[in-house]
Amino acid sequence: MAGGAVTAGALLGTSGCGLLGGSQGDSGGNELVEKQNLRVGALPINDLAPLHLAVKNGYFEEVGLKVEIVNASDGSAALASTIGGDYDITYSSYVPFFAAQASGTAQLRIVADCASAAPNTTVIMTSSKTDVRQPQDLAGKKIAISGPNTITELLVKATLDAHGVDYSETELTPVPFINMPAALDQGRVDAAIVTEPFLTMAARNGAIPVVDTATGPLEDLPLTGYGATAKFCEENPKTVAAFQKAMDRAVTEAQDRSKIEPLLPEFAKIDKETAAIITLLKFNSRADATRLQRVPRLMKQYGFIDADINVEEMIVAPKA
Amino acid sequence: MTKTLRGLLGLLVFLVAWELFSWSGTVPQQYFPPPSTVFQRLFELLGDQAFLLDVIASVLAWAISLGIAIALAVPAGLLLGSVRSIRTATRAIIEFLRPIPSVALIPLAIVLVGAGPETKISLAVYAAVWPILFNTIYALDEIDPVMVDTARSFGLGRGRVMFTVALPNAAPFVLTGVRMSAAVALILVVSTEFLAGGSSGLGSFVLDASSGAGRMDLVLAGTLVAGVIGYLINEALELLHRRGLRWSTVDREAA
Repeated sequence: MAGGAVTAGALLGTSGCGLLGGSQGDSGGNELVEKQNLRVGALPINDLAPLHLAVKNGYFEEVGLKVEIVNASDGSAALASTIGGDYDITYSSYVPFFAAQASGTAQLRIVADCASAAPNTTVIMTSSKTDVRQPQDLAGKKIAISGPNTITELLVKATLDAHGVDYSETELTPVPFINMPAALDQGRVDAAIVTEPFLTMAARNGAIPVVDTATGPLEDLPLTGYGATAKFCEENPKTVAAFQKAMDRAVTEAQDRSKIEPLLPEFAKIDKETAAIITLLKFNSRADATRLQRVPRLMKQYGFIDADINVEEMIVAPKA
Repeated sequence: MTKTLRGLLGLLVFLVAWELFSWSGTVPQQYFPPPSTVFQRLFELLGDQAFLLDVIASVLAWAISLGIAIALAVPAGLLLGSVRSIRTATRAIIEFLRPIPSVALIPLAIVLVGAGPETKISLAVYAAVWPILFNTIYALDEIDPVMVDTARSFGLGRGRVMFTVALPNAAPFVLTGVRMSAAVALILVVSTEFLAGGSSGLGSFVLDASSGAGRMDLVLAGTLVAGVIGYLINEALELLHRRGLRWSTVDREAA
């Protein structure tokens, strides 16, 4: 019986490798790129729409790449898997990128930009049961963020600061995005920084906006991008260039909302009705040092990092 | 009333209670959808190729894990059960390793073997080895010494005794261990997918549905599928036990 099981296991192992969802194992390149099978770390959220569009429309194949999108449980887990060499390129918010770079955990490079703050995408909301109506009312209140040392913490602190509220007096509690609408509804927090599609869901539950963080000093702030280790970028310049080329094309196409909307129920599991009304972030593909430099500057200002970071040195500039 | 009918009645009562609770408004339906919604989603999912591939990925990973666990644990159990010195020597390390929860090893496994299917398979194997191993060791302790002495007196060597007396005697115990491990392996495969993410699998489907858009209807539909798979596996192994090992009474003792 044991022997049979081994044989069965071996048979399943060989024939089922693709079905198991593993990478094809071929880590070699072709005439276009050094490495054709790329594992790209991602999250099931709408920022990733251009990446899924590029896979679906075969833009990666046209430049010689086979991209496997691997969803991680959160952004820092995806980054950790990239530093560990399990993913080749990963999506992440910029905060953990720069935090890892500043602490010397890894030498990272930014391969492509992904999305920046658009109006009504990162909003501090409250429930109608509270007396919070404007930013000043948030003083001394309990505000839900997605986690400590995340972009949401940075956005909340900077927004409070911009409105003259002392953020050190507020209590920032980590609550997963999915639980934020309920946390607001049940009064477990006074306010929460909510992103799409939870923003639309929270509004449906009667939550009301207090302040849009993507205004004032944080207007058009770069939020997320694609990165890789410096070692990977040095060893695979053509692969990185090919990835950039395909993403450029997908992001250009993604500016047309009708191209993105049908993808949302597929990869982000957002229902069609919600997908039709949510506000999308602003999709970018070329990383711009001047714009990106704002993120580490804010991170240093709010004590996320101690060292200065030169973003220009971290960006892998596209070839053409 | 027949057994099947009673089982169905129990299920019906459970579903009605769930439906009523969802409609009662204690928790918004968005967070705890009723079975009517969940079954509708489930029905839609069964026609969704991506979802079916997720299910196949999980079931395949489960089958491979259980196969490897059996292949490791049965010979190891026979060895430890029949050679007392080895058993004494390994006792401390086994008792140390056994209670470590496999999910706690996920970060370590990701560093060691990456986040591919290898991770969930190795963790599931780790967890599934123990019940089979201990049941096999147990089985060898339970053998009637008279049977072994009789076989010996007929001039059978150690190896022959192992295969003609010990193994058939141990089989019902081993199969009970396999049944326990089958459930453990499925739990591990799905929870590793859920906790570590990945590109396919039932657990990553549930993770995507919950973290991406908070679709509790899809989360529950995925969970339901995992439950049904576990149920079917157990039924199949029970059938195998009844048909294949008619002489045994172990299932009654162990149940």
